[in-house]
Amino acid sequence: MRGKTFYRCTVCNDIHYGNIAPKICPTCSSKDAYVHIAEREAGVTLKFLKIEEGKNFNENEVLKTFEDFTKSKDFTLNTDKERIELIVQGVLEHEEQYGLKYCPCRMTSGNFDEDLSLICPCNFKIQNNWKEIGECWCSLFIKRKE
Amino acid sequence: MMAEKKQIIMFWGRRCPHCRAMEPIVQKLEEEEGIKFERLEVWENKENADKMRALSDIIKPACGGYLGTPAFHDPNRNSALCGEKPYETLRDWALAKMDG
Repeated sequence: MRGKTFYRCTVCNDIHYGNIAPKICPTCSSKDAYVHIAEREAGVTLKFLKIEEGKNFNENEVLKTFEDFTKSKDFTLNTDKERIELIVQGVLEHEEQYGLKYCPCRMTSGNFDEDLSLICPCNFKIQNNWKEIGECWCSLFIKRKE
Repeated sequence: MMAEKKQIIMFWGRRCPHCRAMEPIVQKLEEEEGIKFERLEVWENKENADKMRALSDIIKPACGGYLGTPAFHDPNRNSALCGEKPYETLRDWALAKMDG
């Protein structure tokens, strides 16, 4: 049990603060779409913290949130450890420099609201890559084999 | 008269695993086909990021609706190719003639 903490809906970026993540997002009705996030990510997403404020996760903590996010899902983490390490470093660098864990394999548009869709984990199931090859764009998450 | 080298822009991110995977393929194409790739890193260099954003209309459709990396842009054809691709795919796209 983590105690009260922050969760983000990976589909609509709704932020929840509580003991556990909601099963169904009250904003977009997506099921099992929440991921555990750091205080800074919650605050910057909701525009009440500046990018240098609030506590961030380190590499191990981010990796743990990604692993937890895949539990009981039809996708898992890529088995290529080097690839995962690079992506985790990338999202943390982007959080440090730009305030949010932007995907290292995409570029921001410069529009804050539009770029919320680039925070990792993103709503990758709407992407062509997921539909065609069963991977998110950066290949961090891959479809679980039957 | 020497034929001018084909020039392709490659937008890439330094923590992008697809970009790393494409680098040996890009190098091979430079050596074997004489194509010149201008590598523009977009996360560390604001000017490069703006150049990429200015090509949104071309790059986004090729990247599934986003500014994805690696993104290759052929300025002569105003065409883009996006993501981790096999050698043959990048070669054939890079060597394609104007709207052929």
